[in-house]
Amino acid sequence: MKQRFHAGGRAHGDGAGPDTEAGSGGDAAVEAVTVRLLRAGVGLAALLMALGLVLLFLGGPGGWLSASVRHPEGWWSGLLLLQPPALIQTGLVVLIATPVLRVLAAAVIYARERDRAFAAISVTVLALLLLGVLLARMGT
Amino acid sequence: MTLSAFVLTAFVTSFLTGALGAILGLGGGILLVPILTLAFGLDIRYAVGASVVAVIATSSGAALAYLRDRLTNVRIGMLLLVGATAGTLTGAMLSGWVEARWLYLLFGLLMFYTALAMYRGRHGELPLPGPDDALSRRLGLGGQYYDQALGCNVSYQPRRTLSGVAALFLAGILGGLLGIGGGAFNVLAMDQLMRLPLKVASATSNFLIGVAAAASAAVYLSRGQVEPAVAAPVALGVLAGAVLGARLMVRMQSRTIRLVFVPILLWVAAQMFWKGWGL
Repeated sequence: MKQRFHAGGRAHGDGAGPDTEAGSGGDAAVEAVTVRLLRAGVGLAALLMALGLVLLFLGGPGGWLSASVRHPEGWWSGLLLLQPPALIQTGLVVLIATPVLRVLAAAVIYARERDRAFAAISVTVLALLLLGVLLARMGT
Repeated sequence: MTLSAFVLTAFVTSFLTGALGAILGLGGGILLVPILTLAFGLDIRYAVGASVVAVIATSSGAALAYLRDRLTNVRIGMLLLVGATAGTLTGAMLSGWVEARWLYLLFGLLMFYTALAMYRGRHGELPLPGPDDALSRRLGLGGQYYDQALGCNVSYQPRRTLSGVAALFLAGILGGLLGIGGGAFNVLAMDQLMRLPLKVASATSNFLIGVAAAASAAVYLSRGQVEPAVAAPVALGVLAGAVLGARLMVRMQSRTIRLVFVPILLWVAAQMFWKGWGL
């Protein structure tokens, strides 16, 4: 089913003589890398969080989780010991990283394709994201 | 509520918001925060943390389907992200300087108006061709996709590119300042201003809200505002829901999507009026 739709969409695209603008090759590459990146990131994040939830239930009436994962040492040791909060936290970090990695991958591919405008736009977005995190950290 | 009952209900609720968020390009935070605080009695700080995670999960889950169907326009998304992220930063810096209640009223009114415009245009399946935009052409923002509901290829060229970026900047300010409603404005700007096909607008909005939310999610996570026992079922439910919602959306007609969208917009507008009135 999925395969058929995919093939259908592509055949139509080719038949109509798709994007003639410069950089359309870059866009196809961006999409291909993005799909692979998303699949890996989302899969890993979901696996870690599901494992954490299952272990949370198996662990019995633990109730709400501790805040121990906020400190790096607690997080790492918790991860090695397969503690639910550490597993879930790691899954969340992977999940949050996927959209940022998408922009990073796009920046690299646009730069490699010499699509200067969009390489610059992607880098600007990354810089603004980073600035947002830094400003928020300073504010607290 | 016991832990298992909470995790189960949170998963089911998140599944539904994820599906709806993926179809409409909203991210689902608008729906999730009231449910988590009102129905589950969760502290607003944790509810906001979980909903930011939900926005990213919606974005990434939906993207898996949309990119395959070539609905997401990465170029438009990336360009609008400059406006959106700059707006979010500006909004965060302005908070404390600006009287929020007037903004709530202003944006509530604007959203009410655009919801009406969207309702009036509900019979149009695809945008009508209009005046050209040189910038949009120069940046190669046009695209095409195969519409499964219409059974044909649809090509488009966005209009009013700069106005779109400006609208996303404003929506970003709104998100950074007020914390709600940014996602809904993204779709409205791409639909009503840039005249993109609604499905492209929704899919592209899904792409950019995930990126725009990543910075605040990282901050909430490091502040410990993301409770693992809340965030895990929410994220898993939303992911599953978003994958399903995106699959459904590619087969839906735009007018059906509009009819789902309008009441949600009215609800968001009502929420903003409510807050603006200081109730």
